[in-house]
Amino acid sequence: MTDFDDFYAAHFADLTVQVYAYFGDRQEAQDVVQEAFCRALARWRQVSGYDDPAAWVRRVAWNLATSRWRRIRTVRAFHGRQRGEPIVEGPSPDRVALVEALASLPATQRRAMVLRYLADLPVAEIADRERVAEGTVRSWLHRGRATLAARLAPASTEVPHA
Amino acid sequence: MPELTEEQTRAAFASLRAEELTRVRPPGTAAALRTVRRRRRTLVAAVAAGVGIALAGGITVTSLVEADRSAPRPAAPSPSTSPSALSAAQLDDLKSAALAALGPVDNRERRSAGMGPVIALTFNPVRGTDPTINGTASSENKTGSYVFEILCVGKGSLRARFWAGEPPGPPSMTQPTPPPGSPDLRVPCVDRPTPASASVRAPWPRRVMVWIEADQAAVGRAAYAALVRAP
Repeated sequence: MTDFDDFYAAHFADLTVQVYAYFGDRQEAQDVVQEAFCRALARWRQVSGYDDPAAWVRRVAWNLATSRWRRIRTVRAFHGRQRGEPIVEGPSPDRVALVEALASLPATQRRAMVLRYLADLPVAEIADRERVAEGTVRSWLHRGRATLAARLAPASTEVPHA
Repeated sequence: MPELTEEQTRAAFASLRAEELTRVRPPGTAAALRTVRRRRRTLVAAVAAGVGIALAGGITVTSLVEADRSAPRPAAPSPSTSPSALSAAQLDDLKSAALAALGPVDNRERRSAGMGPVIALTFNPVRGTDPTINGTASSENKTGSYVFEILCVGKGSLRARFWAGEPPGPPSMTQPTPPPGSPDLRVPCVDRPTPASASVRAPWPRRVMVWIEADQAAVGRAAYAALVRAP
């Protein structure tokens, strides 16, 4: 068992869940996280010396996912023009309610929510990563929680009548 | 506006995490290692510093890492345990010798010597597990012309094809093939090699394609160095 094996075992699944929660595609999330780990392995001597190698892999994975998402969006837009009708994504059975609700948030709020509640990063670190003030991150989190409350309310608060 | 409490939010995300963790299937570190090794074996495109000054715009260099899956393969190479196969250290020495024989590859040095800037560079031992190398390079090179140089140190020989390909598109499962009449270099692996070269025109956004195949005598006994440069 090498350092890298331990590192991979400790972080792969968590990072995949974080990327999935942000982008909403489990397979894509797994692919980009694996690619990010490949890149870490290729320069492991350097990456393993960082204070937080997992943060490096997360950043690479998110950047890769962002690029792929933009490409997919472009392809969908192209196909939409070709067909002359908008593409409407059908319901996906493997999407949980929270991921669907997250998808309705603006990117900044969604990112803040995932980093805060899945990656468990402190507000200060999210602010540093996003290059905004801590108050801005708190505002994103507040708005994110409010939107999630509205989206998740029917499922979480309705009590069936006897 | 009502919002989820901190506790409710944490509970919701913890539940999501717990559910999703059971669905994640890590490909594993062995798969990552295979990917990294394959990339190292195939064309490693190095964009040397300063190329942008000599060329009109940005540079794109991509390795066709995946393409070699469907590439035409030569007969199975002789095993690397053959008595005449060289050790890893000896192959590394050959690799260094091949790179040195190629001349300066630092673009500052090349510029001061009046040589065209390097766009892509690769140098490796010829290994038994992957005797074909595929690669592609492109740049917004004003002239649209590219020069390919290759040499080989050791035993055996290489065959190198160099041609103008189509602009990058969606990944294809089919191996790009050189058109008839495109440069086809036979490169002997010797102790004191001189570069064999070929030129093609591939105006942006077309790209140049490289395909290198080693014969069995070179596997485990030779190293090559190759570059793509502007004229």
